[in-house]
Amino acid sequence: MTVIEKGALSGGSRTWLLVGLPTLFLLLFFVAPTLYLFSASVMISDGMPLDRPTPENYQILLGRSFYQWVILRSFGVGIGVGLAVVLLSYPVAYFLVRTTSRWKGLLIAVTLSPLLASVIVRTYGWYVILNQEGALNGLLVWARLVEQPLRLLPSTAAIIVGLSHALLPYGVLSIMSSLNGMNPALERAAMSLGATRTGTFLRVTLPLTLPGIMGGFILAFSLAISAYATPAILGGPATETMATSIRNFMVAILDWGLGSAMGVILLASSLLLLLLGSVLGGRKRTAA
Amino acid sequence: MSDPALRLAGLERRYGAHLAVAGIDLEVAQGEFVTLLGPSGCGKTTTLNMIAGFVLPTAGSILLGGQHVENLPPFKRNLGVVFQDYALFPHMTVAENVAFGLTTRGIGKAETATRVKDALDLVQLSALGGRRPQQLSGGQRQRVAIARALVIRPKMLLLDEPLSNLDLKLREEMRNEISVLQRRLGIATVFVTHDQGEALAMSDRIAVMRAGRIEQCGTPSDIYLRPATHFVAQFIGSATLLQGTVRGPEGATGLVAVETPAGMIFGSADRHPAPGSAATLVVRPERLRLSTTAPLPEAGVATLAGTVESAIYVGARTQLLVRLAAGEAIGAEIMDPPGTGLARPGIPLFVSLPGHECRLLPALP
Repeated sequence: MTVIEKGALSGGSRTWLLVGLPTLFLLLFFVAPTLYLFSASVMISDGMPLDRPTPENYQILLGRSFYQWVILRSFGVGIGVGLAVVLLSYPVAYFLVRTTSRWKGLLIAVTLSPLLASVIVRTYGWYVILNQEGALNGLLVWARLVEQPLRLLPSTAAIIVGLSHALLPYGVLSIMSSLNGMNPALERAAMSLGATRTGTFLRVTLPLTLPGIMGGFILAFSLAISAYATPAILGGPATETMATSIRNFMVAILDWGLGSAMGVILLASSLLLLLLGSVLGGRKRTAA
Repeated sequence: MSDPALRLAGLERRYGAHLAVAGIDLEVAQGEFVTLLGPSGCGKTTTLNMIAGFVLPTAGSILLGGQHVENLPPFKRNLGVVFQDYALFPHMTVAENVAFGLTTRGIGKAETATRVKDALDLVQLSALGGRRPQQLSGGQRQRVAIARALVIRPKMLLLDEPLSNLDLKLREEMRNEISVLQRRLGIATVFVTHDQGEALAMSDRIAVMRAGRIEQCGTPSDIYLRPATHFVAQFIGSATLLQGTVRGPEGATGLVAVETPAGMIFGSADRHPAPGSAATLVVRPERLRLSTTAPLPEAGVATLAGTVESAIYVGARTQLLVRLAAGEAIGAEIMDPPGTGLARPGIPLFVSLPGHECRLLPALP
């Protein structure tokens, strides 16, 4: 009797230990800084601490057109990267799931290889390709498609290209997992019932892999909207995003209040989309 | 005369060096139910997939109602296919699943609704049109799959092991249901299975396949009573195969006498093999007679002495293994439950083999 109780007790305390340590870690290094971020965004104005909360920082960021553009541009980058990742990774994922090639494993590894390169190396790679004396301009001039080298950097488009390349593996992985979960006989069934290949894709494959598409989009969006290094290298002062502006507020202008407020806005945008996605995805799941 | 519903001529599918289907010729008449029966890997599913258009043949031709279709994509062949795991669309209701093949054909809303209702009535699922496939039992899913395949009024029905995911009782029920439905609609059907019971119960004709070829094609009783090869004899039902040497015709009985290590046994064959050649006798366990006293000699019936070695109860019958005096074992089936009558290991008895029940095959090469 006592033995059992003792066992149950130690089992219980073991559980607490297992859950407790990560909880403590998260409280110290995630929850506390986030709370501090919130309080800094309303308790610091013009770089000076206040004794009463003020919405001033938010009024500046959401009210002035320069900052409105920064926020909109970040959303544009996020949505652009999300769409590009989903569109580019779907055919790749479809091929990788359906191929019977013996190189399948290698092909998957190659697809995931952008994850192995450091973000700086990868981004400077794009810099080498896209800058005015870069490989792409060299090719265009050599082929006489343009007379003068194009000014491709810095630009929002370049940021989208660089981030899409970096985040492609997330789209491929997410879509592959939902394609893997789909019975391939469903496509055969649709075709035997008279659906063309396009019809089969639109009416069967696409709806059944929608959760994977949503997952890939949300991952790419939230990673792109908060990315710092790529926008910093491929963009410039005219193409600031939320992430690069936060750095400017914190390090260059030393206005922690504005920086924190922008941080809160960034966090809220990602959360909003995540919520939207899980609501849509959740409805899909209960329906299926 | 109208063309057969299906004609396969020299149909072949090669995967690299491997011949999955090695040249098949088969005809299915209008309204006929033909089963492709064989162990896994014999090419039966590949053959079905070629008929449906999912797999392209590497040689040979497929004619549906006299028309060459081997180059048509599956969506232009107008065949009803029922898959092993049913392949119902999980994101659609039962009614939407059934309507799928009608919307791809651009059939109007009103007609679609009536035809879906009729199809669901046909399989007795009218009440469940609004359900999702995941909310149905295995047997109900099976019925939806059949309704979905039939609603498009296909030229033929192709069934790919549709019963293998059901439990025994339901399997027998569905087996009868499919048979009744198929006969009522008079639709030519190709059925793929590895289950000989299903094949014997449902088919007009059975094509027994092995290693990409058809070993024998005939009515169920043909296949069972007059197997053409060792493989067919052993794959369909149980049988004891006794090896021997042909001695010649047995009097006026029309039978052939074969000398085996167990003694002289008589067998029947369409064409009598030459005396002195090696031959195999196929003995079905339910066709031989057992007795404790020596039966009176009878023309064309061989009687051998033996001992019951084991008795296995299977409910309706008891399966005996009888060890013959010469050392060979022979399977028999009797009605006595174990421990009664002849179903007692150790008791000596006589086995009578009527010659017209023993099928003679040429010996294995």
